[in-house]
Amino acid sequence: MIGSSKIIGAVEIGSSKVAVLVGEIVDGDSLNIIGLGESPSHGVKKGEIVDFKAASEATHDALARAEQASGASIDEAYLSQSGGHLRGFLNTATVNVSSSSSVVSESDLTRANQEAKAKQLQESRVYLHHIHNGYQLDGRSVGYPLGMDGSKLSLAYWSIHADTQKIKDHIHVVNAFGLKVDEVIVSGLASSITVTSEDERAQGVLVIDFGSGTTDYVLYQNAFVCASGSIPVGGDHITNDVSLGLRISRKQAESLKIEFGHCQVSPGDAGEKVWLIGDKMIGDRHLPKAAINQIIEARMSELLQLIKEELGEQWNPKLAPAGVIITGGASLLSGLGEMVEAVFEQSAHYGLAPSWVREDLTAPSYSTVLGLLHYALTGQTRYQARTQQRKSGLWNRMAKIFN
Amino acid sequence: MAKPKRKTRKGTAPSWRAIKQKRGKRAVTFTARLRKFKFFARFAGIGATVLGVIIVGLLCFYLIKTATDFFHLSGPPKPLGRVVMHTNGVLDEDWLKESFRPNKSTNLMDIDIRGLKKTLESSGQVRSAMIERQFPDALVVSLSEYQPVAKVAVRGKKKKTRIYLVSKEGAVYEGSNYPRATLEHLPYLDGVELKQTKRGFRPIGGMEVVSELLDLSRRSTPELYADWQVISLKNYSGDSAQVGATISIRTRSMGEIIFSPQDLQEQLDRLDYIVQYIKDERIRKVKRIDLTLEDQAAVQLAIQTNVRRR
Repeated sequence: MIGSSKIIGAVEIGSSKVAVLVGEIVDGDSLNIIGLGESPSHGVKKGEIVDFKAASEATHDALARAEQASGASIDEAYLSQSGGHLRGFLNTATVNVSSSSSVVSESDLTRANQEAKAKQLQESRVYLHHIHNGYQLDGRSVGYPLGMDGSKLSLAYWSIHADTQKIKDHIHVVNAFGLKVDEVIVSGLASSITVTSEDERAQGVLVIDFGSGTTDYVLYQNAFVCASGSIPVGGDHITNDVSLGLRISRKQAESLKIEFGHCQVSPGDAGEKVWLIGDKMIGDRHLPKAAINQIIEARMSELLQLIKEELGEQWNPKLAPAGVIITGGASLLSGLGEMVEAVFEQSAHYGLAPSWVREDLTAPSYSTVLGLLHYALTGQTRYQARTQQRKSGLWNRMAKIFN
Repeated sequence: MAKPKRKTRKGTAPSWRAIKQKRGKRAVTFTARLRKFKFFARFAGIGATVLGVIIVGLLCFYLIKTATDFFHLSGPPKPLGRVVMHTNGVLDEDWLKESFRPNKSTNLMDIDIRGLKKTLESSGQVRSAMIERQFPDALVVSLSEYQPVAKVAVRGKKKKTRIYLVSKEGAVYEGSNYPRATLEHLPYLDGVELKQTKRGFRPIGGMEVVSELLDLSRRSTPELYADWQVISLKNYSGDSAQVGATISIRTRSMGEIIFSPQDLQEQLDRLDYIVQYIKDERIRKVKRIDLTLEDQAAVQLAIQTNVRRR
């Protein structure tokens, strides 16, 4: 439709902040970022809503700011999801090729799809994603087997499921603003799409998104997602550890972490001291830098080891030549890259936002919301779904009078 | 990582999309309530604007329609100076004066335009009257009159016969100001049942077809038309599709001619041929010519009962 546009709101309800990025998708094939709204998060811990009212206040504030900044009402909401309740597993199905001539047909593909997606979950869990993980025909990997000869067709999905109630809480927070959630996307998937290229995903790459409440990871091999997870440990926990370890307030701990923190204790840290507040007035005191960094190193090392353990045998540095890409607000911690390289025995670098992103959105803390908009865009062109003509003309102009 | 159970039912794996979304049911926060309020206020505003536009539009329409009565001009009142009359018919100012005799001091603004229009249109001969004030002191009267195509004799209460005119719309009225020659050439109408109403007579049905027949005949066969005396609608109620509907015309020299209400020109062409044949063969007395027999015609002669088919 000429001139049709849809306003998408990418909503990330994080543990430290709520970010809403508003994008306009024009004619289903181009995206304009038209507004950003942010608000400090409340009522969210480790990516899960623990206080509905507080989380709603923060989220609605961010949504309202985003709509005001963009000058448009959001038509559809894309919501990110994170938290320790997310689980993923490889879901495979094998069917016999039905045709007597052993040629794979559409019905064989359909049966394999249905078989793969039909596996029941435990009570109170729902599927979020079924990510296609490739076909195999008689044991050999194939791109698209329709029309090929074979007797056994296998199909794999990386299926991600979550706790129903936790998903409901997130959705209802957005609903309470008057918006319908059109898509729920795992944060790790969204941010990995932003910071990796197609080539990197084809070669094999591990993406780690360090958030304040959770750390999400996604492993790509041969362009498919072959592992993903969410660990309920993030930058806030490091702050908490520093606060408890040094017996200072969380605010002071956060400040010290950002200013002086490093993921590894260096020999030079031994005798070095830092000021707690920095104004050298009453209440200010010296703290050993080494103590700060020891705490940080311990927690980060534990976190990275956890990720490695969860990946298990799936992690093979040789199968991820593109290395490890790190992103997220907590990834700005000094020395993190080196620690990641040491743990995963592979090169690590910071993920960069795409070149078309404006400068104020290139920070790693925006990679998730950018990924949500990217998903909205590619979802539009791929599936040509629900192109809704933005009301224009007299009706919309009249509406703007009262806006 | 907990593994899912094996499937128990095909195609029933739960997706997050099955979660019922409660959009807008209860605005939990002030921000959400404000957004909801703005949303409804926007549409209320649009609705009020649209309603306002409609009301203003209707008001303007009403004002334009009754403009002469609504707008009262200020300024010194002027007496009526002159009356200008336009018509497409035969009525003149003398006739107008019979219906409208204002005093010399009558103010232009005080003239009841609506009442005058009603009076003029009730005369019967006037189809429509348009009256305008032309400032500073003139009244312009524009008349559209009925054009007579036939006349009908009506016997009154005291057995007095009065002649009324009939227009192509079927209007029956007493004519005024028509030249004698015009009225003499009009054929009489017969076989119609006139129904009296408060304002005169109910319109006669089928006159459009009769008018067309007369018009065609006048143009294509004027010598035949001149011979026509009476048009009988005894077998014609106005419905041309009715079985057996005919229009009969009594002539001076050709007896009775019967037409079907359809294909008038074709019938006139056949009539012209027949009349020419009659003249060529010197047939003196023709009683009836029936043109309703499609491509044939029955000609009945007065002195013989033989039917000759043409």
